[in-house]
Amino acid sequence: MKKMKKLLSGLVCLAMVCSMSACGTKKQEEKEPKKDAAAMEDADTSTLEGWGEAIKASQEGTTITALLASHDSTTAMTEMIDEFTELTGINVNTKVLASAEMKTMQRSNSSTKAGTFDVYMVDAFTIYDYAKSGYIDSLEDYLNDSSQTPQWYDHDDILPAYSEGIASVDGVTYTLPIAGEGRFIAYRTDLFEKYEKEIPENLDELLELAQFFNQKEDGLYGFVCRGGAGTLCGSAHMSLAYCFTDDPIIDHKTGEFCVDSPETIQSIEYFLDLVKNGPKDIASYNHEDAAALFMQGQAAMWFDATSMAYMFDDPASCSVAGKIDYFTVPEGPAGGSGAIAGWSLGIPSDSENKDAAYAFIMYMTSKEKAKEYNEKGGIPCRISTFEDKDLLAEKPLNAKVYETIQDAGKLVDRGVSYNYGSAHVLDFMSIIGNQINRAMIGEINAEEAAKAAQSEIEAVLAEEK
Amino acid sequence: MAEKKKKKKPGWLKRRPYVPYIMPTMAVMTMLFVIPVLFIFVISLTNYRLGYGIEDISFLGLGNYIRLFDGSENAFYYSIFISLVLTVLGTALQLVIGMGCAMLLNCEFKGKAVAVACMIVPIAMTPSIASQIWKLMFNNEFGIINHILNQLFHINISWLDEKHAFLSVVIATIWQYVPFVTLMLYAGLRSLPEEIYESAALDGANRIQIFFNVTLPMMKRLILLCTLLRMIDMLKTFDIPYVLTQGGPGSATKFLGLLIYDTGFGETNFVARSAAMAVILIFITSTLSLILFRIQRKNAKE
Repeated sequence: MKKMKKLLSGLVCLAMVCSMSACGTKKQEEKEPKKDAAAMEDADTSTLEGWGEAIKASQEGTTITALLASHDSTTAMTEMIDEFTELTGINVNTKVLASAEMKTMQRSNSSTKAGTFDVYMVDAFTIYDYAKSGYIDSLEDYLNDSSQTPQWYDHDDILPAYSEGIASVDGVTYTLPIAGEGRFIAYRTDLFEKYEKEIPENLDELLELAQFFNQKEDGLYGFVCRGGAGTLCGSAHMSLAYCFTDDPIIDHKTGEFCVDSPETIQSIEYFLDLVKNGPKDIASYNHEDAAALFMQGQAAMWFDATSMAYMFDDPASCSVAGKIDYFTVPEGPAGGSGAIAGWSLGIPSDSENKDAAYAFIMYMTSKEKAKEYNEKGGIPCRISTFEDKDLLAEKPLNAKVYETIQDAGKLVDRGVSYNYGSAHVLDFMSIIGNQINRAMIGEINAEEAAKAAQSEIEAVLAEEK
Repeated sequence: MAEKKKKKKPGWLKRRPYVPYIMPTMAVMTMLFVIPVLFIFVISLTNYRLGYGIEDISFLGLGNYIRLFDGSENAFYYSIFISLVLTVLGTALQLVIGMGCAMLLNCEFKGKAVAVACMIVPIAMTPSIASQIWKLMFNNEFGIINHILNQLFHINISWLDEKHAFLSVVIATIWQYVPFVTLMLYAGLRSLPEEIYESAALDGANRIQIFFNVTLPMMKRLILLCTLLRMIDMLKTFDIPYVLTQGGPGSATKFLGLLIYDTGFGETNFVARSAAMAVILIFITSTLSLILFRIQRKNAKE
């Protein structure tokens, strides 16, 4: 009996030791000596196949690990990985996490230079931080090297609003866009026809329309958008704020925060007036609630992300399908500019397989593969995709989305960045959103909300110094 | 052999013969609880923020704690306040309703198995999923609850606005956790000896008297245990309000758990500050459990 026990405990110990050492050895097996890099330069990369051969010659057997957010585009990419591996001989491991967890992992991984990942999926709101903190590398060298980025990639084909708006920092390209969205307004064509209303030319007319339709019919609200505490409300406000001033949050020239500026307060007041024409509990609405209300036919206008609108076409879930059209954010005192957000792929600076990682990123975002990528459910980012007739016939909404993104690109022309240069864009959006949310429920007024947000932001910044 | 040796060698271990037996548990506890708590405590003494390298970290001493109590964090007081209200209110309601359900279950009726099976549903369902469903049901415009209220009484309540959000969280937590309390108390009721009830009935006690003078005193220990478990759980409530209200509207449902999350990860990256709050939460929870344990022990001795 005793022997038996000893044997058992010995076995348990052995098992524990083995499992511990197993954790340590996993990484080493993947490293293989890189093959001749010079082969790359002589090879003919003018076709996808030629490029694939060249990459295979130098990178075959390399394994890269991509950290991705759970997203339609990620699903599309995952489906294309086998093909990529076959073409290039590069093995791809993916780790897919919810976006918040993914960002936390990126930060902790990059700040400790763990080198675990070779590809990051980068949120437009964090790119400035990542670039400035040195978490991700500039891709300029790769883009300028025609053997790494062949003609068929066609970087100029990517919508400028994306390539300049969500994938570069201070004019330097750090990532390549993989998904994006803007914000536009959906409206009920049947209601607009019934009451002989026109699409609004400016923000004042938009507000008038919202007020006009609110309670015009039983259970009908004039306007709905996301309004919940934090980033929900913050992003909704920010999508309109650039219509009031170029610098609603940060002064792009001085880099000083100016949330309490008169123009920003005006924009908050406008936002508060607008959401008054929505449901009573709009201060707890997320994007899904807003879309659900609109799909029930209980709102005349809906203001939210372009990516949400695709489900309005389905009569099974949307009771007003077929009676919906869209317009871009109307002009305000400073012009009309919708919001832009999106995801892009970049290379963490602690990666050990940067060339292979770039091959992956380039392949996934290339013009050559764009159609396939979109057919698998990836979100379009290229002019050629938006203008593709087959895709347009399949998804007519693409035309409106294209218009919206081009419209958002005006911001780039105005020389301002929607993701103003701060490492804390998301944090601050959440802070501002919380204060506006308080104003929505009448705890404070617009001016107090702006001042409270400004002082909170200043407190965070003071901590930095 | 081994036993004889031990007898010859009186000492620390001999006076504590239980030590070898609890060692494995203690080791696991240390790994899973003591080390993380110490780690949080150490972090709470620094200025650590997400993304800081080792060279950026400096020690602040008790700075983070002083900050919490010198009035610069109003949100913190408010969070503690609503967390405590939720804890007391939620636990009390869960216990009362749970006790009621347990008493009902203790009667014999047809379809009891079905009732018990229904009780399992909330226990088995993840709070975050349940909250998603509650969010739909609470919806002002097309939620089922308002629909029913409208049909029956012609009233419309915006459940998730600033006035009712707290109540909605309480309701969702009650739905989620009453079955747990019920099943626990029901098991207790089943184990009570029949004779006492018979003699009470012989003495002419009515049902209410039996409940307050017989059932409750005998169930006291179990009820206390339930209270303890529920209170700790309610204090650290996170998932239900996170899904249901995101802490809003305004800060109406920003409970301590949510505030800790927002400070450390959600809004700002002040991990050290949120660690300090977490230590306070641990402190409150342990104090509460200590008090309840004391009461329970006292009861056990009596």
